[in-house]
Amino acid sequence: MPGRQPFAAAVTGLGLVTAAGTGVKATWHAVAGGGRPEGVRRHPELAELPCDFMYTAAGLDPAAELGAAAARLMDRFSQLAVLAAREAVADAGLDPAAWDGSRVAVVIGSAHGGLPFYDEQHAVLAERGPRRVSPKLAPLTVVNGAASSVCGDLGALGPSLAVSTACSSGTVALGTAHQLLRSGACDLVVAGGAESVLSRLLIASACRLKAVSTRREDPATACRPFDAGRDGFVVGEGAGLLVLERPEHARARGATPRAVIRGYGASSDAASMVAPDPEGAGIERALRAALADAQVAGAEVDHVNAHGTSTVLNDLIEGRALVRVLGEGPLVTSTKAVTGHTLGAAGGIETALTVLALEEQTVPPTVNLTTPDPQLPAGLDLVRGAARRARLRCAVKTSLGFGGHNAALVLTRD
Amino acid sequence: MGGLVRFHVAARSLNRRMQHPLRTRESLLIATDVVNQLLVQRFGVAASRVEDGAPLGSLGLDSLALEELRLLIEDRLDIDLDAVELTPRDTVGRLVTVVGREVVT
Repeated sequence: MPGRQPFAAAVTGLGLVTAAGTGVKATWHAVAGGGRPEGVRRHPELAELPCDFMYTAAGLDPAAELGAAAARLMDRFSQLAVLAAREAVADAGLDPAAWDGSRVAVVIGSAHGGLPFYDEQHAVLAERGPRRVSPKLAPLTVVNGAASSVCGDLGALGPSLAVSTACSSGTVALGTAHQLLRSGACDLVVAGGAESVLSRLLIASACRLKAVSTRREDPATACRPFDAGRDGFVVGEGAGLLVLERPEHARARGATPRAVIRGYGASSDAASMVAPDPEGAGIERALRAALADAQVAGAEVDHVNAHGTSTVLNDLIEGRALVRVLGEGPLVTSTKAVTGHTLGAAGGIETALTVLALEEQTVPPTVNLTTPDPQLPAGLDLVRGAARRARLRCAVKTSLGFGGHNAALVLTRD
Repeated sequence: MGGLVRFHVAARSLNRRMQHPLRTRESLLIATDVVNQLLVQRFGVAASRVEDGAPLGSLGLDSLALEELRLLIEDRLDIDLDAVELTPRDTVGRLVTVVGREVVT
């Protein structure tokens, strides 16, 4: 393998909009608190479906925050992205009015883009004909809508793109941002993921695929990663964006990193479109590649924020792969029971939560995990019940996406 | 087929005007009201900037926004503006006038 210097991207800002809370503080408070999830609810759009519930940021009116002029050109996933981007940039102590926009890139992962608006307009077409269809279907529904909206809102003039690798989009977006900074193409990247797909069509199909939980009698306990009684994931909406920065650039302006992304690895299963490689060889490759990129040994990893979706297959395969590569040392958790499975946004939201874990020296619990699946390796140290304080220097984020797209990031405190 | 539809629409519109020649002022009031409301609420234009002589482009409406506005006005008033040419150079006043012509009170 050609020699390559490790590259440490400074994380100087965080922004979160999730079903667990609007803003970083509110989200972390709910995630670390480990209480009964409050962000999941039944929705009229999903009435009568085997899974009629979803995690949403209730009470959030993005149009009121953004103003009608801006909000009308964004479907909800883009609106959430803009709100999260504003928080992240402010958190980083950056002033978009003063920065050199040509050195600011935007990379945002999304699996589905503006599906709700697409659904709405499809109904208009079917019921009222083509003459009544909105002219703004293309700009609102394309997957890059979040990236372009954030560029427009902040005045980011550098490279911008969406990343679409299904449920690993956010993690791959952050890895792509890491590579952009490493190449010197930019000094700052606003990167992560955004997703909002309250779509009857999508959820109805997910029900037919038997991928989502059907625990309708108690939605708050349906998402239960690694639990023996898990029966599928629960979709959530949200946006998680980080400001990544070249370390010299951060130092020059006196910004203190909240954490550092030292390594990124990605791989493809080249097998099933929906099930992970049963041997976990794909996620293992991505994880080993990330560790090699960071020049960090598996035994040095103190914490893993796992993909942990609450599907029978993912949690078992991922759990085994984690122990194979990292041993029995790291404290492992999945935060999806508090935020929902936010699809393309998951990697962004959960990497932000990993940064917070390192800062707070606290691993949040895997909510709803009452009886760990006995088939999981005995050495898998899952944090459940309450958050666990520990000495955390190095953490990993893993993601596995439909289509067999795997990704992993290695982060350190400094 | 499009040509036939346009003819039918134009004929229907003319028929309406012939039926209600004395309702013009009322139609204009309704049109003014709806256009104002939509510009402020759906396009975020400051109410104080919505004047007869203001070009729609100066209020931040590009050609995409004008097509969106066309549909919104049509849905709100149950009229057909398909034959109306709209560009960002057109003023609020012109828009109100052409909409008013289609409104049946």
